[in-house]
Amino acid sequence: MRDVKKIELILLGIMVFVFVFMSFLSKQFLNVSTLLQIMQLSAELGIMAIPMTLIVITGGIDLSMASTLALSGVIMGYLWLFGLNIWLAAILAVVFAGTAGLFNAVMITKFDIPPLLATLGTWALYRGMATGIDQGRGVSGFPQGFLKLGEGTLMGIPYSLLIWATISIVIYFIVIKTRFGRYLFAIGNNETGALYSGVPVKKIKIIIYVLAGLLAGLAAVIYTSRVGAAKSNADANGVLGIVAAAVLGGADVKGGSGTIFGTTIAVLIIAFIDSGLTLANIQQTVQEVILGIILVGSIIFYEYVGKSKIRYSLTLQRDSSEEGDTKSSLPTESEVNNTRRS
Amino acid sequence: MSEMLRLEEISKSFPGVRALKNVNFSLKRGEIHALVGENGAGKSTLVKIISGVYKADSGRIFFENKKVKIDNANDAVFLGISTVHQSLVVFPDLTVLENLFIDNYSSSKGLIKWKVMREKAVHVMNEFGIHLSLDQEARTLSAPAQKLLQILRALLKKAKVLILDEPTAALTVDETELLFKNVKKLKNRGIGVIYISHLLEEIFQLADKVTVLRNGEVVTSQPLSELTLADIVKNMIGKELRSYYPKRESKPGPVILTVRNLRKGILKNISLKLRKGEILGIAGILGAGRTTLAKVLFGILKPDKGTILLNGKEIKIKTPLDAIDNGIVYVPEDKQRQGLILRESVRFNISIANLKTITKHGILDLSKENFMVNKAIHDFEIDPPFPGFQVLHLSGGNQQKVVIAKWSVRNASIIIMDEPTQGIDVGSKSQMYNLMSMFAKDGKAIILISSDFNELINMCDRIIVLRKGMVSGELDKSEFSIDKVIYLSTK
Ligand SMILES: Nc1ncnc2c1ncn2[C@@H]1O[C@H](COP(=O)(O)OP(=O)(O)OP(=O)(O)O)[C@@H](O)[C@H]1O
Ligand SMILES: [Mg+2]
Repeated sequence: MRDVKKIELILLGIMVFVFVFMSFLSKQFLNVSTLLQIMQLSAELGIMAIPMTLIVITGGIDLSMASTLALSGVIMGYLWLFGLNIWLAAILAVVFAGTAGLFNAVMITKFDIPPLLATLGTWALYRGMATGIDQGRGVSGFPQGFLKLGEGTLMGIPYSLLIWATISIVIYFIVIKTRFGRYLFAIGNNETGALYSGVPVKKIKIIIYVLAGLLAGLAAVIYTSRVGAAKSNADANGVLGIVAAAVLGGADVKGGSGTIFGTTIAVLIIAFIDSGLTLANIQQTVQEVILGIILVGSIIFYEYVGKSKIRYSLTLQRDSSEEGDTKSSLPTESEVNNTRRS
Repeated sequence: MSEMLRLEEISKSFPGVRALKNVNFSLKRGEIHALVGENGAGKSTLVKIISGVYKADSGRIFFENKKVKIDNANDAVFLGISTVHQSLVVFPDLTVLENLFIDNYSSSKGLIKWKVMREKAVHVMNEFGIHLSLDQEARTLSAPAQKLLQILRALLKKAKVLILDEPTAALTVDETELLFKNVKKLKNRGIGVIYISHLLEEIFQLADKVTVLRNGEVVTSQPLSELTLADIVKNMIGKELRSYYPKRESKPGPVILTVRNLRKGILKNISLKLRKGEILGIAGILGAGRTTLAKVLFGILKPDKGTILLNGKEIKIKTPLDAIDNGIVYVPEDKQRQGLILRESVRFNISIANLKTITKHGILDLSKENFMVNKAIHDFEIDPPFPGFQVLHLSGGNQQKVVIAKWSVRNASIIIMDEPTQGIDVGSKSQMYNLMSMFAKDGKAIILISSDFNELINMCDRIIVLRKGMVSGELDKSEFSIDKVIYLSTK
C-alpha cells in the first residue's frame, strides 16, 4: 500500500520545481500561450495515461495503447478517404479501438494470458496492421472543421485540453467515490480475495481494457486532427510515456495502488521536461533517455519512500520473505545429534 | 533438564498497540511448552521475536545460557530455532519439493542438487509419516496439506527448538494425531517445543508447561499438572466462562436449498437438502470433498453435473456474485488468501462485500459505510477497533472475525462456513456459536463444515458425513455421537 496523499503532494512539489527550473532554462517557458500549447501537446498522453492507471491499479498493464492509437487513426483516415463523413469515420475509429481493447480483455480474462504478454502481442499486432493498411503513405488533407478539434480553442483553452481535463476529473471521482473504484483496488491487492467477496473480477477487467481501447481511439482522433495526418507510425514510442506517467504518478506496478490525480500531474511533469528541453534546444534522444530514467527512477523512489514512510510495509516485506531470506546456514545434523545425547 | 531458551523482559509495541509487556519465558530441553491466550494476546508476536521476524523493543534473549541477538530469520535458524508460522507460507507455483527446500537448497558449486534434496525429503517424510507427493504444485494442495508442507519444512531443519504457532488450526483429526505423535517423538529426542493453540484439549494432551498471555503480559507460567482447564480459561480471559455452546432449540423450517446429483472433481453424486433455520453439519476427513462442495455452491467451481434448487426453483450459480445475489455466502477455509484483502484496512474488507448496500447509483455513501463498519467492529469485538487498521496486522483470530463480520452485515439466507472457528480463542468461539445460533433463529440456514466433531455435535441439527466425495451417512440430532461421525468418515 502506498500513501496516496503523500505521493500526490510530492508530485505537486516536483512539478513546481520542474516548472521553475525550466523557466530558468528557457525564457519562452513562462508564457501563458506556450504553456497552453505544451499542455495541448500532451493531451493524448494524458488521456491514455488515465485508463493505464486504472489497469495498473488492478495489477495489469496495457502495452498496446499507442499501437491502437496508430491503427484506429489510420482506419479513420482511410474511411474518410473512401468517402465517409469525417466525424462518422472518427466515431467508427473510436468504436474500433474499443474492439481492440475488448480483444485484449478477452485474451486476459477468458484465456488467462498475463496482461503483459497479451498486450505485448497486440502492441506488435496493431502496429503491424496499421503499417499494413497504410504502407507508409499516410492520409492528410482533412477538412478544416475536423482540424479545429486539435487546434481550436474555447475561450483560449484548447479543445483537447478541455477533453482531457473532463475525463480526468470524471475518472478521478469514479476511482475514489464509487463501487467501481473500490473493485479496482480489491482486484489489485488480492484477486482471489476479491472474487470470493463477490467482486465481478472479469467484468471489471473487461471494462478497463475496453476503456483503454476507447480512449486510445479518442486520442487517435485528437492526434490526427492536431497533426493533420493519419499515419501508421503515429505516437511510435508512446507506450513508454504512458507507462512512465502512470508509474511516476504513483501507480504500483504490483497492483493495489494508484491515483488519477498523481498520474495527471506526472503527465504535466513529463510535458514540462520535454518541452523545456526542446525549447532549450536539447536533442530529442536525450528526452527519451530522460523518460526511461523517470520510469525506473520513480519505481525505485516509491519503493524506497514506501518503505521508510509506512512502517507497516516494512513488516509486510519481512513477513512475505521471512522464509525466503534464510540461507543454508543451519546447524548440521551432527550438531543436533550431539545435543540429543547430552 | 537444562534450559534451552530464555526470554527476559521482552517488550514490543506497534503503532497504537503494546503487543508485549516485559514478558519472561523459558523453555527447557525436551519440554513441550504451551503458549495460550486470547486472540491478540501477543502469542504470535512473541514467536516472531524468537524467530527473528520482528525485533523486540527491549529485553534479552538467551539461547543455551548464552545471550544472543536474533536480528533476522537467518539468525534464528542458525541457532537451531525452526518455526511453523501461523499464516500459511507456501509458494503456490512451486512444487512441494521446491517449497520444502525454498530456504535451504542443497547445492554444489552453485548447482542445485535435486537428487539429494529429494532423498532428504523422502527420508524425513518417512521418518515422520507425513506423505505428500513431491512433484505436485503447492497451489493444488488443500489447506491442511499446505500446512503439513509447512510443518515438514520446519522438520527438515533438524532444529533444537521447534515453534508451532497454531499448527492444527488448518488440520483435520488424523493429521492432528500424526502431528502429536511427531511432536512427542521430538520431545523425547530432547527438542524443546513451543506450542500454540486455542484448542485447550490439545494442550492437555501434549504440554508439560503452560504460559498464559493476556494483553501482552504473562499472567501465569506453571506446569500443566498444577492447572485445570477452567484455570486456564479464567487466566486467559480474566473471568469465568460458564457455558460454551449455546442452548439451541431447533425448529427447522421449509427446505430452502436442494442439491441433486452433484458431480465435480472428487464429488460423486451428492444430494442433500437444507432447511431454513437449520444448522447442517458437514463432516469428513481430508479429501472428503467438503470444501469442493462449498465452492460449487458458492460459484467458485462449476459443477460437471447436477442441479441446485433454491426455494424449489432451479438456479445457476456461475460466479460468487450469482451466489451472493441469491443470498448464499461463504466463509472460506483459507481465510488469509480467499477471505481477506490483507493489505487493505478493516473498513475496506468489510465494505467490499457489501458495496451494493452502501452505494447509490454506484456512488459510495461514506457515512453509511462508517456506520456499517463501526457496527461490525463493535458487534464482533474486533480488536484493535480501528476501521483504518490494516488487516494484515490484526491477530489471526481477529482476521477471522473480519471475514465473518463482512458477511453477517449482509442479509444472507444461506451461510456456508468452512472451518469458521479455526484459530479463534475460547471467548470468541463461544461468541461465534451464539452468532450461529442467532442466525439460525432468524431463519437463516447454515452449512457448517468443521473438523471439530465436538463443535458439530453441539451446534448442528443434522450432520451429513462425506467420504471420498460421497455421502456416507446422515445423522439426526438424536443419533449424534463422535464415534458415529468418525466411523462414517473413515469406515
Ligand atoms: N505488524 C503489526 N503491526 C501492528 N500491530 C500488530 C502487528 N502485529 C501484531 N499486531 C498487534 O499486536 C497484538 C498481538 O498480536 P498477535 O498476532 O501476537 O496475537 P496472537 O496472540 O497471536 O493472536 P491470535 O490467537 O489471534 O493469533 C494484536 O493487537 C495485533 O493487532
Ligand atoms: Mg497468532
